[in-house]
Amino acid sequence: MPAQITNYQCPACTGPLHFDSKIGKLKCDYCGSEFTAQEIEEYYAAKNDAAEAAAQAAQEQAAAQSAQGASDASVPEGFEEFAAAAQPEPSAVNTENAGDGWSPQEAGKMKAYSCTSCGAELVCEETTAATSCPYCGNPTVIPGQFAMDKPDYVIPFEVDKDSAIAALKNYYQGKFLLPSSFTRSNHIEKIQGVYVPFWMFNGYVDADLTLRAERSQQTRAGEYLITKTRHYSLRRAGKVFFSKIPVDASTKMPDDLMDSIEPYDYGKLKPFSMSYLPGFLANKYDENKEECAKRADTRAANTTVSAVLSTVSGYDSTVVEAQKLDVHRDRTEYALLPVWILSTTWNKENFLFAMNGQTGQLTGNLPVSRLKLFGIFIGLTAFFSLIGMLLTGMF
Amino acid sequence: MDTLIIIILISCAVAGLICLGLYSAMKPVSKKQTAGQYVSQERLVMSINEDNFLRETESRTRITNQAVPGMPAGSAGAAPGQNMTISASSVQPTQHNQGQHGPGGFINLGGGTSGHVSGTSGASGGPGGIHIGGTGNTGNTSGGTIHFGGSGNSGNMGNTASASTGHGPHVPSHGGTSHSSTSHTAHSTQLAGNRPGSANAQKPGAPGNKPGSRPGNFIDLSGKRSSGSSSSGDGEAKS
Repeated sequence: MPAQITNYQCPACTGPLHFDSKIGKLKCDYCGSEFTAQEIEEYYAAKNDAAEAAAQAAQEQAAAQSAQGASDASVPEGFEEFAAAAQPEPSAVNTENAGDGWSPQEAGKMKAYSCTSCGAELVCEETTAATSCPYCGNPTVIPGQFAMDKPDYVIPFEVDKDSAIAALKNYYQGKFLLPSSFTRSNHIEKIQGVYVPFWMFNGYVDADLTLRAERSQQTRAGEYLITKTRHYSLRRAGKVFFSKIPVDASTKMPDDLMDSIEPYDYGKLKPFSMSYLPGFLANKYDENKEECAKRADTRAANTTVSAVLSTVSGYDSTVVEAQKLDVHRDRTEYALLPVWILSTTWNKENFLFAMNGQTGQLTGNLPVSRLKLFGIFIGLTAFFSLIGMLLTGMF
Repeated sequence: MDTLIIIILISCAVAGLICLGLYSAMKPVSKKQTAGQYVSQERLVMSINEDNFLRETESRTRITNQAVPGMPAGSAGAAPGQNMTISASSVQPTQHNQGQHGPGGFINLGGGTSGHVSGTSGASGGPGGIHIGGTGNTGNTSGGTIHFGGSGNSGNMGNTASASTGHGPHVPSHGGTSHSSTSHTAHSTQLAGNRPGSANAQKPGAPGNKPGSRPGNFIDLSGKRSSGSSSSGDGEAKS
């Protein structure tokens, strides 16, 4: 269980470090020192080694003390019943404490950590891997979340927060159907940079298609129109290789929103390092790869069929009679990809926008003014009617 | 009125499509169904690429000349033997044209007796009239009979048009698809001095009503153009 959290601190002044997407480095909030991810990793690797050695020694010492304490705490004869009653069951105590307003299932999904900077208690979801302390604001990373399943890659943020806010305002421009009150009173309620977990599927799809095709030719002979149709049976088989089809592995992120901000530039994939996370929220996956594979398979199969069909040409019509598709998956990779999540509320309805933290592509559904839509419809109808009447000489 | 409704309906449809496009632009979030961006460099590797010829079929379609290509089937017009009185002012070019090409319909312009119409051309329109009827297409194509009577009634109703003063002669058209007007040209005496306003109507051997001709324009061959006033005469019935 990941109980430890890390506040990446400036080696120079021990101030909190956060990843600055503009410069692509970790920057100290106080002294402004900049460090590459590799420098911080090496620094903390040495620090961790020392901490582990110290923890090992402390553990051995504690074990020796507990052995001695156990013999001291023996219950006198005849008092075992009272001692048992006085000893609370650990699980019962935990459930009661956590169940104050939370169901046992919900409480089970929460985890508490102590901020290493100010000592405040951080309550996070069980998948949280990086966050900020709500009291001191220090970026906090929970390395243990990735101890079992370490991501293969990470794409660092390249778009900063201010750019994301500006992009959202630009996004509203030129949208005729957007209610005026939405633009006027719109305030971004929350903006958060999130490293979203993605599975990346590699493999190929074998396709074997049988098609029926026709080619027709018309000639005129006297008062007859002669149509000659040549019928063909076609067979196309082949395979298409895919590399890193991304599928988001977090139930908290809407799938369609994550699909809509693709693609990422995989040329900038970096081997995973925790040092890219400070200053952002990060989650580990909560959907396993088997669940996500279906989405990747469907996309790969559709693309393969289209690619194979593109080899058919020179016919007037083609109909697929039968198709056989085999999806072969190779290694599945795990990556954290940067996303800016912006949310706003209008008319008691939440609107969520997502921005690709690497390319800056922003998307999100906007509200539609029915009045404006109706007005545009009426206006266009009147305009086209007028044109039609002029063309037909009704005026 | 019908045209106006059609125009409004089409306008509604076009406006609706544009509004749908605008609405879709406001809701761009959707799940992706393809993965074309993630196809690796090898792309498509084909293993089978076969095109096998199976058979050849042939179908023949007879091209008929019953209707002028591109022209819609016309209304049936008046029933045989019945009068359909249409005043000149109410005759619209399109109506007239449609009537001409109606399958097997009779068009009686004017208020004459059955099958006979008084002149529609107005000023000099005397007794008689126009009777266009037939089992085919207004006599232009197959087997129609055309009666043109009355002075000044001609128009560009068809290549079989024939005009005569007074009661027009019964001009049986030749059957078949050929244009029968060659042998039934307009009487030169009646046309003398008249303004042959419709080239289509009075020319010998004119190629009949075409979509581009001016159908239904009433031309007063007596020298005056029809102004829309009609005179219903007592035409003589001619079968």
